[in-house]
Amino acid sequence: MEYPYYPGCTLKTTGKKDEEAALEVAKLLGFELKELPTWTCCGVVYNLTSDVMADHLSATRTLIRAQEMGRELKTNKLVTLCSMCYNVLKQVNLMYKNNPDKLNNVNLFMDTEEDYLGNIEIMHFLEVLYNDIGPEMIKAKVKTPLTNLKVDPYYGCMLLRPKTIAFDDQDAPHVMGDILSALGAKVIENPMTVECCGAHQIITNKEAVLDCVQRIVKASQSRGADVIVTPCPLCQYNLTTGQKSLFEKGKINHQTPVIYLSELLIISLSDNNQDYLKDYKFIKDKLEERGG
Amino acid sequence: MAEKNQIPLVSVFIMGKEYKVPSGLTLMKAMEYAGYRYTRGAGCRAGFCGACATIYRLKDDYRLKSALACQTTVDDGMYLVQLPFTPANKKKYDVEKLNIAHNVILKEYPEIARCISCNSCTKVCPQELKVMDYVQASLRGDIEKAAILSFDCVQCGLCAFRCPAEITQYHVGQLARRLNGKFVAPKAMHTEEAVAKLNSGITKKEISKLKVLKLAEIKDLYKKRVTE
Amino acid sequence: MVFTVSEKGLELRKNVEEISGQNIFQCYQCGKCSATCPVVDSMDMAPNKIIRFVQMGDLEVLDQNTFWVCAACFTCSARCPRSVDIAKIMEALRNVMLRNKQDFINIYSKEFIEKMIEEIPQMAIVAAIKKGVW
Repeated sequence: MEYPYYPGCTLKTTGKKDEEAALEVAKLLGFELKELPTWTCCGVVYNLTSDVMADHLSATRTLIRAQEMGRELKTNKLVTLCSMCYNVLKQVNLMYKNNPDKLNNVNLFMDTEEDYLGNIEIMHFLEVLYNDIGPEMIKAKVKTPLTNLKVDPYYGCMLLRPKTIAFDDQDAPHVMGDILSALGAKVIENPMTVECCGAHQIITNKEAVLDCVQRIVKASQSRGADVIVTPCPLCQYNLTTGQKSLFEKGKINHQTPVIYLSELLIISLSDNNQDYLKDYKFIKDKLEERGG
Repeated sequence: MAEKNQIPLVSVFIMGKEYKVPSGLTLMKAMEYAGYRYTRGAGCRAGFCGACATIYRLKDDYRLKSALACQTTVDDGMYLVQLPFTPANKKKYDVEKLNIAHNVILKEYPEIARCISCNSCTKVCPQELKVMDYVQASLRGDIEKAAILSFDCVQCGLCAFRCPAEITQYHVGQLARRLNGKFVAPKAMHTEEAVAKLNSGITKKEISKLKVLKLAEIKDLYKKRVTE
Repeated sequence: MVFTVSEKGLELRKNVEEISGQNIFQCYQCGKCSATCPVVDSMDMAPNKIIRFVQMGDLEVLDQNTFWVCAACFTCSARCPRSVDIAKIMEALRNVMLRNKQDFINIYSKEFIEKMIEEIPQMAIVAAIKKGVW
């Protein structure tokens, strides 16, 4: 199975590790993520006004690219790795489904492109893993069970809100936890799992982000998490650098590593996980703890 | 009055005033025919310098089109105006002090983050470059791609005029090409070798020979030179 | 007691309703949005109070930092018992300012450029600029 895949800007830079790991995970699980030949920034934040269409153009262009590639691959799906891309693309797509007039206007405006027909289905990588592959299948492919590893799946906002785009329970999501359980990890329940990390306020209001990070991380640490797992490159950045600042200020006792779900999947599913284990020595130590 | 083989005249409206000019003239020559004299906005007259950016509209068409005045011929009923200068934002930077971190272009020109992918820049580009794509490549830190896609830019400035996000695309592309040349593209070793050879003085002997020759002797040498 | 709303206050309320597509009087001031907001501590005025001010057409609402601090995480919208999309109201207030040519950030200020450190993901920069610059 081949899926058209939209990386987004950050997956090509600070989130590069996520992309590399996810592409490999896909191969291990028997599918392929095929990057759209050309793509533009998704817009990052969905424009919430009722009267501005311009900000939806970039997402629409990506939807058209997906439509073109989908014809070739005989699918109407488009997979994203980044939570914010997922959120924006899915909200724009939904807005067109609910407002055919707006879609018509945009098609008239984008006269150098083919018309967008509104049929693309936006999927996050997690959804592919959970719905199309399934935790059972993943479990069957585990080479290195993550026994002893206490993981805290952190969702953040963009995968689950607003409700219209959520693919999991908004308040008690289980998809990431189920996948991590399939890998043999011990999944802890963090009540802060759907709390916001502060997102782009890292630029304009760092203190607000540090507040958010402190709440999330303290809840995680008090439940004994070895590692926080996230699918979002901005959450990863905010939680990692936020913890560093908090630690320097003495507001937290230690820093919990924050890694991408795809990286944990590689460690568990691949024979070739030595590089990852070298990067994350604490995981190696934990795995060795079980005395094997 | 009527002469044989007279070239048919067409109507053009230059800054709103109608002129009859022979068909087949370039926009630039048509403006000169109509009596305008270029002190700015005409450079190479060969489509390379980008000094003669022009906006026009054809009769019964709603679209504003764009061209280089030296490269496009007049059409009947054309409305046109030339834009000899773009008051565009241009940063001062020292390439030696920059790097190729993914944010480097974003840091010099943060307005590229405002791009909404409307594609106006690509549509207006007289060089038919994928302008939007190179702005997007710059945004995601793909310097090489931005440099390649913007390579044929003549800096006419039309993209910057059309951009609703007020990006100066052509300066963004220029920065990408400079960074690409400095940090990404392989060094042109043959050029460095050639320069080193010249600096070592291997041509000195030949030149001092030439210096004392008479004009007729130089002409003779020139005629006898070996050409490929 | 009689309240009079100024002409400009009415205009603000109308603008916010139009841009957000929300009925501002749907809000009954339970305060759940403020209780659930992850960044409320950094706000000059809690979100429910902001909505009350818009209801009353009080122009002071525009001087608050609340809607600029909002990270558009949709928690308030998800939990509002009256189904008011508060995130959209915050966006509308941002837009009232931006459309009046009052940007929140100056992307050429030294302060902003200094924040663009190498490791910061572009998505944060783009998001901040999309929310804070017209």
